[in-house]
Amino acid sequence: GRGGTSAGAVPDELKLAVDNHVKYIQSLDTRQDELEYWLTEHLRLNGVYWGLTALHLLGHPEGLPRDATIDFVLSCQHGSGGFGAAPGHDAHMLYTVSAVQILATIDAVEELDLRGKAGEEQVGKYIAGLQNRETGSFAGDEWGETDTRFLFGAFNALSLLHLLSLIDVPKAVAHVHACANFDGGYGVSPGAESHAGQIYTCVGALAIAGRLDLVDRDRLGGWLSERQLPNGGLNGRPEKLEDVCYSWWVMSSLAMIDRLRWIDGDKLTQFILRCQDREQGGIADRPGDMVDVFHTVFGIAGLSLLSFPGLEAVDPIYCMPKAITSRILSK
Amino acid sequence: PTGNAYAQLISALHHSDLEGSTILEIDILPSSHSPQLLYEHPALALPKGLLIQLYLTARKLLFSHLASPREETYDAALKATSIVLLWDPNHLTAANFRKRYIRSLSSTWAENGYAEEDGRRLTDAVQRELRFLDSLLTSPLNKHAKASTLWGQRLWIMQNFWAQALEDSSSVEGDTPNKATIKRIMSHWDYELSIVMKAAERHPRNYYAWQYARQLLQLVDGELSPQMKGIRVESLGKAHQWCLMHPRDVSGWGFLVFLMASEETVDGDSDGRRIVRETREWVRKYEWEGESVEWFLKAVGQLQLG
Amino acid sequence: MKIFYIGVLKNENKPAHELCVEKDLSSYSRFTRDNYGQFMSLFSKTVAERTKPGQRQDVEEKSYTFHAYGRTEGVAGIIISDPDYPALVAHQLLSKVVDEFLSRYPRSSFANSNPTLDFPQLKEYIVKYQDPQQADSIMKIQKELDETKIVLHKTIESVLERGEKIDSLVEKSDGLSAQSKMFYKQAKQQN
Ligand SMILES: CC(C)=CCC/C(C)=C/CC/C(C)=C/CC/C(C)=C/COP(=O)(O)OP(=O)(O)O
Repeated sequence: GRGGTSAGAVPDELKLAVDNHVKYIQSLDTRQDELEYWLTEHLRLNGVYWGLTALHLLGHPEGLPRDATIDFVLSCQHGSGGFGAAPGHDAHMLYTVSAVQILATIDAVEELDLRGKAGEEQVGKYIAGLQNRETGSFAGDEWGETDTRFLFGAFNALSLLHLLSLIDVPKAVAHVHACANFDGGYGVSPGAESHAGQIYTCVGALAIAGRLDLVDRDRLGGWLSERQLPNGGLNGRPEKLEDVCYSWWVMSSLAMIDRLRWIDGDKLTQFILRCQDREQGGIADRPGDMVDVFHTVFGIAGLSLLSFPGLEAVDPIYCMPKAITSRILSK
Repeated sequence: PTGNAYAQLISALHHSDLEGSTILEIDILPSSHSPQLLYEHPALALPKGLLIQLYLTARKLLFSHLASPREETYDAALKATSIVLLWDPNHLTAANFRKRYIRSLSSTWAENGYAEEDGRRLTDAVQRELRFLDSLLTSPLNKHAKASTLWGQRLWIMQNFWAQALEDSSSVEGDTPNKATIKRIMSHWDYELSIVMKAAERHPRNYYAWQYARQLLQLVDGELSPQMKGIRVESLGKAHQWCLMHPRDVSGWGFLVFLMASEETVDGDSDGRRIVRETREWVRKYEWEGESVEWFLKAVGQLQLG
Repeated sequence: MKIFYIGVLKNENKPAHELCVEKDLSSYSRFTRDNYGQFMSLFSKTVAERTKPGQRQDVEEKSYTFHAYGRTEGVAGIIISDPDYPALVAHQLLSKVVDEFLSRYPRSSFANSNPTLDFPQLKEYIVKYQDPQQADSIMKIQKELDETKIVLHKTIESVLERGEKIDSLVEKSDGLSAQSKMFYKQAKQQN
C-alpha cells in the first residue's frame, strides 16, 4: 500500500514494466520520419519479428496493426520467393525466415498465395534452393556465405510451412553433427569455435529434425552453464561480457536439452530486469545502456523460459509463442 | 556544404594509389573535433553527425538507382555503397551491389575472349575491393572489424577471384613460375593473417575474423596442398605468439587448436608438444587465471594434440 | 597485452612533473592520438602525486592499469598498460627504469627545476617489453619483488582524496586542450 511496502509486494526493480515495453515497441513503427528509422532500415523485417514476438509474449498480441504488418511483409518479397530486410533490399534467408515467422504468428501464411509476389510453395523453394546438396549445409543467399544460422533458419521456416520435404534433412543433420566441438558446443561450420548463438541454431535444427539424441547433453549443458557470471547475466563465450540476448540463446538451448536448472534462474531474472528502461520501455544489453528491440525480445523470451509471472509461454525452438507453434505444428 | 563533403569522402575512399602497405585508416570522431572531414592520407576522419547525413544521401542514390537502373546513375550508385558500408558494415544490399560489379567485369572479360585489357580491369577492381575491405576491417571503427558481411565479401573474392586477388605487381621475375607462385601464395597468406590479427585487436574475440582465417586456409590447402606444410608450421608459431599476447582471446586460441588439429601440420606432434609445454610454463610463470587458456589446455588434452 | 606509457615523474610537490616519458599511441587514430596522449599524462601525474616514497601500487581504470612505484629521491615511475599485462613484470620493469634513470640523473639534476630529461632507453623498452616474456631476464635478477607488496585500487577515484572527482581534475587541468576536455565528456556520454 501507499507509504510502505505491504508484505509480499514486489519491489519496483523486480517488476517487468509491461506497459512501457509495449509502448516502446509500438513507437518503433511510428517513427517513419525519424532518422533512427532509416538508420536501422537494413534490419526492418527482423525488427518487426522481434517486436511482434515480444508483444505476444507480453500478452498484447494485437499491439501491431495486423493488416499493415501483412502489407509491409509482402512489400519486402521478391519474385524468387525470398524476402529482403525492407522494400528494395536484396533477399536473404534471415529475412525470409522472419517473414515466415511473422505471417505464422499472425495466422496469415495464406496471404502469400493470395497477394504475394510468390506463393507459399515458392517461398519454400527459395529456401530449399539454398541448400548445398553435397554437404547438407545452407547458404544465406546466392552469394554463398554458409553458416548454421541459415540452416536453422531453413528448418524453422520450412517446418512452419510444412515443407521440410523440399530439403535433404538427413544430410543437413549430418552437417550439424559435424559442427559439434570437443567442449560440447557448436559453431558456424565444422571446426569453428563454439558460440552460444550458434549452439541455439544447431540444437534448434536437431530438435526440429527430432535428432536431439545426437547431442552430448551433459557436456553441452556444462559449457552452457559456465556462461553465467557473478552478476547473474550470461555471456556467449568464455571471457566475454554478459549480454541480455544470451538469456535467450543459452537458456533456450538448455531448455531443449532439458538442463534449464543448470543456471541460477533467480539471479538471471534479476539481471534481465535491471537492463530495463522502466520509464521509456525497452531492454538493453546491460544495465544502463541504450535499449533496442533485439535485446527487448530476447530479454522477455528469456524471462518467459524462466516462467516469469504474467508472460506467455515461449517455444524454445522457434522463439515464438508456444500456443501458436503448437497450433501450427499439430496441423 | 554536405555536397562538398560527400565528394571529398567519396574521393578519399577511392584514393587510387592505395599501395599494398598503406591502408586507409578511418575514424568516426565525436563532434568535439572538427565538424568537417579530415583527410591526411592515409588517415581519414569525420564526425558522426556528418557521416549520418552523407549516409542518407548515399542510400538515396543507391536505392533510386536500384528502383530504376540507368547507365548514367550506375557509377554514382556504386560509389555510394562505400559510404553506406562505412555507416553500416552489414548492409547486405550495398555489399551485394559491389559483388555484382566485380562479377559483371568478370563476365565481360569472358565474353571478350579474355582480352588483356578486360582482365586488367577485373584485377584492378578486385584489388581495390580488397584494399577497401582492409581499411574497413582494420580501422578503429565500432562494428566493422567483426562484421560478418565484410568477411563474407572477402571470402567470396578469394573463392571466386583467387588469381586476381593474388596479383602482385612486385612479383619475383626470373624465378621459375612455380616457385614464384608459391612465394606469392605464401606472402598473400601472411598478409591476410596480418589483416585478421589487426581486426582481432580492434575487436577482441573476433569470431568472424578467425573464421575467415580458417576458411581461407582451407582454400589455400586446395591450391597448394603439398607445400602447405610450410605455411601451417609458420602460422602455428605466429598464432601461438599472438595468443600469448592476447591470452583472454578464446577465438585466437580456437584458431591455434584448429591449426594444431589439422592433418597437414608437419611434425604436428613435436610442434604441438612444444606449444603446449610453453603455454603451461607461461601460465605458471604469470600465475595466469583465465577461461580461455584453460579452454585451450583442455582442448589439447582431449584432442591429444600435445 | 599492451604498454601505452612509461615515464619517470617528479612527484615531491604538486603538480607532478614528467621528467622523461615514452608513449606508444599507435592503436589510436591519427586524429585522436594527441587527446589520448594528454589524458595519459594527466592521469599519470595524478597517480604519481598519490604514490608515496617506497610504495608500489596498481590503479585500474576502465581498460587501463596504472602501475606506480614511488622512490625516496622524489620521483615515481609510472607504466600504463592494458589490464592483462602481468603486474609483476610491470613492476620489475619500473624498478629497472627508475634505477637506471637515477644513476644517470642524480636528484640534484631535477630537484630545483622541472627539466625534461633525455633518457633514450625508454624508447627501446617500450618496444621490447610489449611482450612480457622479454622481461624474463630482468625477472630473474630482481627476485626480491613480491606481488603482495603491490597495493591494488579498483578505480582511479579510490586514490583521490575525499571529495575529489576525476571530472573536475579533467576540467581544471592545464595540460589538456579544450578539445581534449570536450572529447573526454563526449566519450563518457557514449558509454
Ligand atoms: C528465430 C531466431 C530467434 C533466430 C534466427 C536464427 C539466428 C539469426 C540466430 C543467431 C544466433 C547468433 C546470435 C549467432 C551468433 C553469431 C556470432 C558468431 C556472433 C559473434 O559475435 P559475438 O561475440 O556474439 O558478438 P560481439 O562480437 O558483438 O561481442
